[in-house]
Amino acid sequence: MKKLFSLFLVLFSILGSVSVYSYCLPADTSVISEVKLQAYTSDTKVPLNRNITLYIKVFWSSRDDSVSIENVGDPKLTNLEITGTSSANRIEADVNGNRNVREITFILKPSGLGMAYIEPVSLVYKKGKNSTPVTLRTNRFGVKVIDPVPEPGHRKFPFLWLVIFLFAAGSGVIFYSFRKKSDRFKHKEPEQNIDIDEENYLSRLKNITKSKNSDFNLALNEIIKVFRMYISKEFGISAMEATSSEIISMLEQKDTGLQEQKLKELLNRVDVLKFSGQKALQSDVDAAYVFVEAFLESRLRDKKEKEASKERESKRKGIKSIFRKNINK
Amino acid sequence: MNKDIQAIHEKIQKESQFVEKLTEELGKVIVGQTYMIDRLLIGLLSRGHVLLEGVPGLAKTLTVRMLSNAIKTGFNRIQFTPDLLPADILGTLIFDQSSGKFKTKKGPIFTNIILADEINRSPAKVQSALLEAMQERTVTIGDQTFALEEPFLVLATQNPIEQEGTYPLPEAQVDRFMLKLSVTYPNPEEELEILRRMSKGPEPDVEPVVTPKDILKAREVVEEIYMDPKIEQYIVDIVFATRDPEKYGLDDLKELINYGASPRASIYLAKAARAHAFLQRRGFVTPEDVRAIGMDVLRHRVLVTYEAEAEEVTSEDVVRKVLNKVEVP
Repeated sequence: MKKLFSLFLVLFSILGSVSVYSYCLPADTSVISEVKLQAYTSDTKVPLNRNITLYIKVFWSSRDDSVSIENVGDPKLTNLEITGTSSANRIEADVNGNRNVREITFILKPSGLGMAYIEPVSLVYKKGKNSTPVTLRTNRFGVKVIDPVPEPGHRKFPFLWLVIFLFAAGSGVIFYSFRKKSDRFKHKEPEQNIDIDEENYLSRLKNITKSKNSDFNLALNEIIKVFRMYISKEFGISAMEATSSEIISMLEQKDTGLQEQKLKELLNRVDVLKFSGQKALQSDVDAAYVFVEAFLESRLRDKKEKEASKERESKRKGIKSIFRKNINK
Repeated sequence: MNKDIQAIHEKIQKESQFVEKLTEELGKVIVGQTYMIDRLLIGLLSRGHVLLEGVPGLAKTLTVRMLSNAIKTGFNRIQFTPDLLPADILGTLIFDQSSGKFKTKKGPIFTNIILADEINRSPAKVQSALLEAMQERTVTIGDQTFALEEPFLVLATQNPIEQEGTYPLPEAQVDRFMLKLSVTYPNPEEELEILRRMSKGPEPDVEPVVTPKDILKAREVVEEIYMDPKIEQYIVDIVFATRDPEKYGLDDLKELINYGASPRASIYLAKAARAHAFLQRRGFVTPEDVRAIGMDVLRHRVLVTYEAEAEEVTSEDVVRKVLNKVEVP
């Protein structure tokens, strides 16, 4: 009997412990029966003109329908103020099975530089209607409030770009003026004047001989000067600043109608008379005068012929157009 | 005057015969470089020293050495180095123990033609020792003054590309050189001939074809060459245009010229123009002679401003513009 009773007690204990154990343990051992509280901030430092977020998360098993979470109160803050809150519930998978997550966020704005504190937040939950409420608390958080940062799209020195632009514009103007100065330093040939009055030069030539100057050297210089002035204007060459050989080489490239050999002989002869101290003769003056006069007169003749032919051409065109008009009528 | 010019002309014809012999003899060794040879002759004939500027390898030293060999004169080459002393050039007093007296040991300057190679590599005190001898044509050692034998010519060289570790000649010293030549590269045909001559076989040499007496006689004739007052005025106008450019219609040069040419420029321009006329076998100076030699006389005498340097305007550009602007008589 005693043996049977002992055996009964052992069996009862085993069964009882198993039943208690199975009461304590859920059927699925991966399910969490406790409620967890998690809290954290988005950063440990926050600029004065930025916000910081306090996240409070509550986790409990999805199988445990008896858990009821009370609303979380606003946290007590130092140097911070609440600018917004939000709350969201979701179910997420876990190693121990599904779990419910309630996430509560507080958007906090700093009030001033220095340290800011978030006092512990309390969360109360019950497991069953008649169960004792359980309080969970978060940690106390400290956040450092630092100098404000530039706002996106806002320039610290708004006038900096204007200064840079003005500097670049000024540099461009100065560079352009320097280039212009160096361009003007380039040797420019005198402009060719098409409206040369050959008759004017012919009259100057005649005035030289009319002066009846017995200084033939002077007369010769004046005649050649008239020639140089004319070819400077007519052909756009710097004849006044060039030597005789330079003038000859410059005129070789132009359509002057001059007899180059005769011109060479004349200019060389004039140079000898001008610079050797030799006295010029009447024949020298006459030879120079005849040459220059013939040249000017031929140029004058050519121009007059060109003008006359232009006039004839324009008249012919005028007559043709009148004729065509009459035909059309 | 006509007879005088004729007489000078005949003298020139007689005394200039050595020029052809000399250039022909030099042509056996030196290919091309006619510009350099002509200017060296001008310096020799007008008692003016020459500064040669050019990159290494342009036969500057070779030309001077061959010139002295062809004239059968003494020649010394002095390589200017940073550790050179004035006594290395001029000479010094050496104590003779046997006699108990100081003896004069003459330096390499006691010769006819001196080649001062890379003159800008020695300090100013060495440069000034040479330049004093150039100006005075005497050398003082101790309490004795020695005259330098005629013809005496200093040919100095400068390398324009290696400026590190050099002592640039001060403007006042550069002014003592009558001519500053810018030696350039030979053309392809000349370079081909140089390659053929110098790349194989012994280095060719020249025979003496001229004596120092010929040079001295030629100098006397050069000094007799006639210079018309118009040419003298032209020279003065050119030099004054470098000092007061606005008076000659060169307003844009006013801000670019720091210092114009000195009266020494007028003197050297006149002397060199006469020597140039001699080489052209002419008994009188023409504007061609002045313009041909003007750049070489003036390029180292016109100092440009910082503004000119910023605009990349060189003294050569300024001189070119002056020569092209001043009216030719």
